[in-house]
Amino acid sequence: MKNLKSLKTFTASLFIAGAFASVQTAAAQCDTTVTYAERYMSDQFVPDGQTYRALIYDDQIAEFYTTFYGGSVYRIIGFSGLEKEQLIFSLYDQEGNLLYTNEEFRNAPYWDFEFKSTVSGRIEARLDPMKQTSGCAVLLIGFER
Amino acid sequence: MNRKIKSLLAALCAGAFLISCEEQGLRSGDEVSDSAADSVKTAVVNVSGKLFSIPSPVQTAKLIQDAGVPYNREILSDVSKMSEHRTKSAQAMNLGVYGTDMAYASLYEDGQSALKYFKGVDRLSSAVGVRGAINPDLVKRLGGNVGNPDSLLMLSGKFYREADNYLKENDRIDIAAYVLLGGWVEATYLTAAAAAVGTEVSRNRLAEQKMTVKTLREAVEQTADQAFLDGEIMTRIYALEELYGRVKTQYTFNEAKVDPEMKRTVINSTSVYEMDDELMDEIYGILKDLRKTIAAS
Repeated sequence: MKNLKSLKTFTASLFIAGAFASVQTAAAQCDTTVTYAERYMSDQFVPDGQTYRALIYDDQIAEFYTTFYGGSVYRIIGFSGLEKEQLIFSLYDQEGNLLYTNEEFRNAPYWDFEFKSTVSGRIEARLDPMKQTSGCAVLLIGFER
Repeated sequence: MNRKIKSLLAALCAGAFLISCEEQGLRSGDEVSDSAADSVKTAVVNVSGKLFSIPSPVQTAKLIQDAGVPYNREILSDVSKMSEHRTKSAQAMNLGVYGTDMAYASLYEDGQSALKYFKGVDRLSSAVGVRGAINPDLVKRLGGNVGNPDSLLMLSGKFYREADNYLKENDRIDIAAYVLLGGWVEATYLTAAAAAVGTEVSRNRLAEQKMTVKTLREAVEQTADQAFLDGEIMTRIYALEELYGRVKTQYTFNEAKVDPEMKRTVINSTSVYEMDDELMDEIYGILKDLRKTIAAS
């Protein structure tokens, strides 16, 4: 009975250790994913100074709200894992209207947006279930100089 | 019971060992170190899927210049006080402030002032523990291009992105949020100062911060410690958000036009923001107080 208890405790402890290691692996993967994503930020675009990253699983969605200024052109880059076209990202306006989704363009890793007027929008990112079931989603935004 | 504790400790040590091996492979010499507990917290925060985005203060400075607003060195922050910022939150907020002022001064080709702010950025980035994580070549190029607006915009964008990435990677999202807060307050203050002298474009830009102030408040609320949340800066952020609630907005959705070949979409929807002179003055007043509080922190 005592042995069974010890075995259970040991298994649980190993699980915790494994979980720590796996979280750290994912964090390291995020760093590499950022490096891959940065390659699509050409010199024509100035980075906005932020990185948007999230560890997501299955059908989870990472989302954030932002404001795009009128008269500006922005580049949005979406990347997950170590290969392009694994992340689906979509841009919605403040009323929830879909303005763009890269799903219609074979999960294009980047897209440029010209805003005629200032718009507050929501960006959603999720993994393409056909290509990846868990991983680090990275989005980068730059504005044209 | 003792056996359980022993097993748990052994497993924790094993986890910490694995973490340390992987982290060393990733980066070395970092001032902000990870712990096992921190790593778990990172995952939880990230899995929640809540991210924050604040428009670039550098872009705001560029938009002020594009609007034809004359340069005013007098309204910039007092960089000589940089050694007085003692707490991590104060250092991080003023790191955001100095970055904005560096971009503003450089855009108007005031290389001397831009260099002073670069020194402030360099020093405060060390103080908050991100300086060692930023590519030394990038820092050198940034320092060498303070008088060259085109290069500085690009390099400072990369500098702040590397810092932001490092802070998020190391579960210092509170510090990342403070940097954003400082940068946004300074950029919005510069916008308000331009609006106050009658620049219509800046007035609109000031009104357009309605959504951003809400995002900023949420970002700080979810990351800052209780002492900060109970402090003077947050009181002013809440007051500012309340004022922005009075800014009238009208949004009209129009179909976007897509050019798949150029990988470009033109967003034709329009927004109109309206605020009267009294509201603008009130917003400007709060921004002045907020900025003073950040400088004195």
